[in-house]
Formats: sequence, structure tokens, C-alpha cells
Amino acid sequence: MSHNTAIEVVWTVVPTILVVFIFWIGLKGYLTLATPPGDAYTVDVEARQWSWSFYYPTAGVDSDELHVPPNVPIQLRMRSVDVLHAFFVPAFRVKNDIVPGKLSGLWFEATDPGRYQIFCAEYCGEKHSDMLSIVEVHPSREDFDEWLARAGSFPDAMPAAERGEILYKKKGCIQCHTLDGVESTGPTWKGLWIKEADRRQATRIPVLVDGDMKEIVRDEAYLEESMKNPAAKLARSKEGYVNRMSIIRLKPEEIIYLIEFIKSLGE
Amino acid sequence: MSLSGANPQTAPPPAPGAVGEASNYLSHARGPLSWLFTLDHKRIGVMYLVVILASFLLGGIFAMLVRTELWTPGPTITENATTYNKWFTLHGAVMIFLVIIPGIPAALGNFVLPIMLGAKDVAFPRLNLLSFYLWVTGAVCFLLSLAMGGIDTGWTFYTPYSSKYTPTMVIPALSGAFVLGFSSIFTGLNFIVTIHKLRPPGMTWFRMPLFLWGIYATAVIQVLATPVLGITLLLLIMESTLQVGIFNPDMGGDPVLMQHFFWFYSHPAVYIMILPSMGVVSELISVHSHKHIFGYRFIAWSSIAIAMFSFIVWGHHMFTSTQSGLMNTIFSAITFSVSIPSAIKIFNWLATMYKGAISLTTPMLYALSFIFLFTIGGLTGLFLGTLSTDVHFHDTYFVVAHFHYTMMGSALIGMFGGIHHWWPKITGRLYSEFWGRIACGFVFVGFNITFFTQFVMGSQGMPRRYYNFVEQYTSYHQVSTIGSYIMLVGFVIMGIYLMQSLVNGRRAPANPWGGNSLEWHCTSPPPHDNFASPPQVGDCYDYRGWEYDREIEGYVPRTA
Repeated sequence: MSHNTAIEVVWTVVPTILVVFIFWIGLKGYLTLATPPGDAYTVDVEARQWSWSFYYPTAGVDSDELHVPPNVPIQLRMRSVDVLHAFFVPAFRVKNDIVPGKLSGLWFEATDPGRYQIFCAEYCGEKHSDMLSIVEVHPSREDFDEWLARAGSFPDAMPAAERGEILYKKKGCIQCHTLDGVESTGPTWKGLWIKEADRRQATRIPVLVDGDMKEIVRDEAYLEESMKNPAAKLARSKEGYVNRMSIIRLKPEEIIYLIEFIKSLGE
Repeated sequence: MSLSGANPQTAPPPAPGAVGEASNYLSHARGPLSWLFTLDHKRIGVMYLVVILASFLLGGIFAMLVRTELWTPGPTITENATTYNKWFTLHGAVMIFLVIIPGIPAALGNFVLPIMLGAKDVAFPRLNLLSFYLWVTGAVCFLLSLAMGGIDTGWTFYTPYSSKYTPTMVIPALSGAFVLGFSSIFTGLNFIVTIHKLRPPGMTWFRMPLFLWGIYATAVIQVLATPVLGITLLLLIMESTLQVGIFNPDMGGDPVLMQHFFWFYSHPAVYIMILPSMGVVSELISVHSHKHIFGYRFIAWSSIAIAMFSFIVWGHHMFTSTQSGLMNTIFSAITFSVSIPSAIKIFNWLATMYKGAISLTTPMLYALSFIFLFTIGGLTGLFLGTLSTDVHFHDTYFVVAHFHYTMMGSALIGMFGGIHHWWPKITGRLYSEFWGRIACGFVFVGFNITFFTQFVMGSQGMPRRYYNFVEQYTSYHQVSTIGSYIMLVGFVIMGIYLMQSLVNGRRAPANPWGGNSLEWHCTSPPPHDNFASPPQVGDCYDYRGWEYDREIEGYVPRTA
């Protein structure tokens, strides 16, 4: 027997009905995923090569981890400063791409306190697999509010250089700048700054400025300029004199703390 | 299908074992120039087979580098993330553009198609040779790209990373893909015309072997979809060099637009990869079960349906790309339509085997592997076509596993099945059945260990394209890597016994398997002109005109 119309029709129609059903289930779930409730708590997300920054607009606070209260719908408003990224929390089954030039979003409501992995889920270059963070779901709203009140500030007694060291990790500088002299994606911070007393004898470092090589003094002004405008004066990194750094939002005092930290590293 | 009841052939039967004694296409002319300037579709097919298998070796080396690096969560064999990113990019680009897309049509289709039609050659032999040299040029561009440090963009070249941020030089690779596209277009054009115009008297469309339906549907996609890739690659080159701004948001451009252009070709492209393989499987299942194919018309129409639907589902690669909910809904709904013709083929093949006299030859083992692996690959596609589940699975190892089950476990397995099925015809030699089965076993077992693990790992959240990974995924990665080494053993064994068959394999009879399509009616290897006179067309799936002859270990026309 080389064909049987009845069987062939059955095994065409039955799978068709099954897949329509599967599509329908998928659509229903998707509509829920794609529709944030009106009263959601908003957090801004900035994605860049290769770190995350979460900004709480009502409190004016930046954090490198996403802290949320429990049992509250959370809406993320996401932007990229450079290439495509994607925000993915496997435990919550949520994901969305982050496209430069536009805002994208997703929402979730976390019910179980704990710390959950955040991955970048759209290939974004060298350190794509190191672009990690954490969602911390607080046990209660009060606990979260307490965290939020403390999150924007350092302990009063903490010296500036120590604050800088914390920012070195929180702001993602650690992804590209080493502290031990090893060449990486960005210039190493070891020996990046020279004490004023030694500046006359010290070798000036070569930097690329507008396509020309110049030699400059390694002072605070140079450090501050490079943090605000990485492409202005390019020091040598692993790949030579190229810029891989996107513009990272830094408050004036954060720049000071980072400079103090670099100064503390010595030669 | 009605039975013609005709004799398998009108020309005098080849004398049993009379192989290589008469002049054949290999001995017809000698010397490198007779190959480099040949217009013989058989020689062109052989040249393609050699370079495609060499490319498979190259792509496979990158795969082994990737899997070995992933043995530990941190750096394993390289300290450099960019190096790893280049390995997975090159693995994908080489396998897709140099191996799987040209794969069966170029290496097997070129050889078998005209003979299956009882024709002397394809419709445009010179265009055929040009297609081959375009492939070579594209491959040289890729090698040039390698020499210049390789690329790290992923084979998908998403913007703005590939157009503005990557430190690697993308132009040689983009150019290579562009040139390869023309090789594909011209091959498709050639095959369409050949099938339309060179069928012999009596071979209506519905009397063609199903392999040719697969090749035909593939050729239609090649001709219609590949130009879109060409334009996309040109736009990317312009964007990279001239910073035109079409994909650059700083200049008002849209990065997601590039994804639409890219997937408009690359989704149909995956059907370029699978349709010929399904065509091969139709031949293998029927011949090696010694039973008429079941449901010929449905299988033939399903190839056309798959080709048509393949053009309208590309957005399912972009469900989390910020594409609108409406687009997502439409693309998800249509995506399911593609699953139905594929499922029908599986049912028809199983019905073909039912009550057949199954020979577990090496080609049959590959065909059976295809059925198992494609079932898994196809079913997991349903999870990915479903909107809510895709949000979780997108860009995880679940997707990686899905496309390896379909592209490698199905398309490539079908290609290797076809290589083993037609090897005696192409080379005039037999390989060791014993080692053939062993190698197939290693490949099958190794494949499942490598990739089934990745479904689980992906559903646990492991993202793809990750050089480092977090500790909790370590055992999955290690199991997967072990599987890849098992597969490697299988392919090494295959390489050895195939080489050995060329050196001193037993001479092949004209019809080792008992098939009835026209390629089994000429000697192994075929004469230069394929047939002395146009052969008579019968039912290519009616095997009753052949009987097994123990002496030559092959099939001869039944005399009773």
C-alpha cells in the first residue's frame, strides 16, 4: 500500500488542531508578560559594555544590583548606551532586548525573597559573559525602603579612596581596568597618576589626541577628563590606542572618589 | 501511483562486477586541468564534496575549541574572551555558509540529479562550473578573514556591534558570504531549469524521485531568498566603511531593521539546509526498507509548502527584539504552519518502513538517526515558536540545542546518509559496512550526549555565546563536552574508512542497495555521458524488478 488518503488526512488535521491550541496558550501567556500593571514601581536600567546600572528615579539612587520589594509589580525601563544588550532573569522567566536609541521594558512581580541571577542575553562583545548582576528581592517593603535610604550614600567616616574602590566594582570599571599593571581592554590604573612632586622628573605618558600622539602629564584633570569623555585622550591598552569605553553616568563626587582611589594605587 | 510494469531498463544490463573496466567519468580524461575546467556535473559534484568536507573539518575544529574551552567555568584553553568569541563566530559562519547551505545540493545534487533524470548533464554546465568557482572565491575570502584575525560578531552580524564596535575586520567575511550567495543562486537556477526542461519522456512531475522534489523546493528558496542576503551584506559593508547610519541609532538609524533584513533570508536558509536532506531520507527509507514510499504526493507537496511558508515566519527569531506584540503574534501563528508538513513527512517515512524488509545498512542507520533527531529538533521548535516559552528560551542553550538537532542532527546526518548511499555510485568503491555502522553509532550517541544536555542547561537559564559561565552549569557543560569528543571519534573513524575505500575498497556493483531510480541503472561509477541511450522511465519506488545476487553482493535485474 503506497498511500491511504483517510490516514493522511487524519494525521494532517490532528496535529494542526494541536498546534493551534499550543499557539493559543503561548499567546495568552505572552499577553500577560507584555502588559505591565498600571501601578507598577519603575526602575530605570542602563546597559552598557559590560555592566549594569539600576537607577531609582524617586530616590535619585544608582545601584549595580537590582533591589526590589516583594509582591509589588516592578517595571523596568531599559536603555543601552552602546550596542544591543538583553536583560534576562531565568528565575523569573523574563527577558527583553535593550536596543540603543530606544527604551524597552519588561515587568515582573517577585514573591520569594532571595538573590537571583541577572544575565545579559544578547551578545554584546568581549565581556558579554561577564556582564552579570543580581536581583535582590527583599523580605518586606520596609526592608527594601531601608536599603533604598542607605543605597545612595557611603558611611560618613569612609575615606574617599575606599569609596572609590567600591565604585570601581559597582560602576563596572573592574571589567576593563586592572589594578596590577596587566594590559586589558582599558588602560591599567596602576601608575596612571603621578604625584605632583614627581611630575617634573616623571615620564609623560603618550596618548592619542584627535589622531595625533602627544605626551601629557598624568594629573587629576587628565583623569577627570577621561572619565567624562573617554575618547578625548587615549592611553595605551591591550589593543593599542583605541577607545572601547562608552560614556558612563558619574556624579561629580563619584569622579572625585574614583580619582582618590587611583591615586592610592601608587606607581 | 500506477505501476508501469516496465522493465527496469532497455540498455543491456551492466555485466556483474564490471566496474572500472569500461570507461567511466573518472577515467574519461586525466590530469588536474581536466578537473579544473570540467563541465561534467559529476566531476563538479565530486570537487564540491571534497571542499565541503574540508570545510566541515575546519568548522569542526572551531567547534572542538569551543567545547573544550567550556570544560571549566573560567578560562580553560584561552585567557582571551575575544578569542573564544571568534571561535564560536567562525564555527557558525563556516558551517552555515560553507558546509550546510551548499551541502547536499552542491555535493550530492550535482552528481545525482541529472542521472536521476536520465539526462546527460544539468541545463547550464558552464554556469555550474562558475557556481563552483564562486564557492571557492567565497571560501578564499573567509580564509583571508581568518588570516586577518577572524571575526567576533556571531554569524548573525547584529548591528551596531558589527558595524561600529567590533575590533575585528568584518569586510572580508561579509564579502565572502556575498560571493557564496551567488554560488547558491546560480546552482538553484540551474536545478530549476534542469528539472523543468530535462525530464525524460514519461517522467511527469509526480514520477520524479522525491529527492528531486526536495532539490527543486530548495532551489526556489535559493533563488528568491539569497538576493536579500546579498543586499543585507552590502548594506552592512556600507555601514561599516562609510558609516551611512542606516543601522546606527545615533544617526537616526534602526539596529533592529538589520535583524529583519538578515532573518528574511536566514530563515528560508534553514529550509535550504533541511529540504534536500529530507529528500535524501525519502530515498534512503524507501530503498533500504525495500518498500514503496508511502504517501508520495503528500511528501512532494509538503516540500513545496515548507518552501512557501518559510518566507513568512522570520520574525520568530525576534520575539524579544522589541518587535511589536502584533508582529510577534502573527509570526508565532504562522510559524506553527511550518511544523505540519514536516510532521507529515515523518509519518510517511514511518509508514514506508512498516512491513518493509529493512536492511540496517549504514545509509539506513543515518536515515533512522534523522527520523529520531529531527523529531526532537522539530518538537523543540514548537517551544520556541510559542510566544510565552520563547521569552524564557531565547538566547539560551535551548536554542543552540534546537538548531543543532535540526541543522546537524537532521540536515548534516541526511547529508552523510546520502554520501554513504551514493558513495558506491560516485566512487565505484564500497566502504566497510562494519566500520560505517560503528562510526554512525559514535556520532549518534555522541550527538545526543552533547546536545540533549544543552536543552536542559538552556531551560535552566544558561545563556548562549558565553565564554565564562557561572558555577552551577559546570556539570552540564562537562557532559556536553564529553559528548562532543565521542562524536569526534565517530567522524575520525568515518574519515579513515572512506579514505581506505578509495585506496583499496571492493569494487562496487551497479546497484548495491536495490534501488530503482535511474542512477542505479548505470555502472558504478557512471560513464562520462551517464547513459548510452535515454533509459526507460518506470516507478522509481517499485523494487520488484531487482533481485539480490550474492556473488557480486548487489542487485541485478530479475530474470524470472
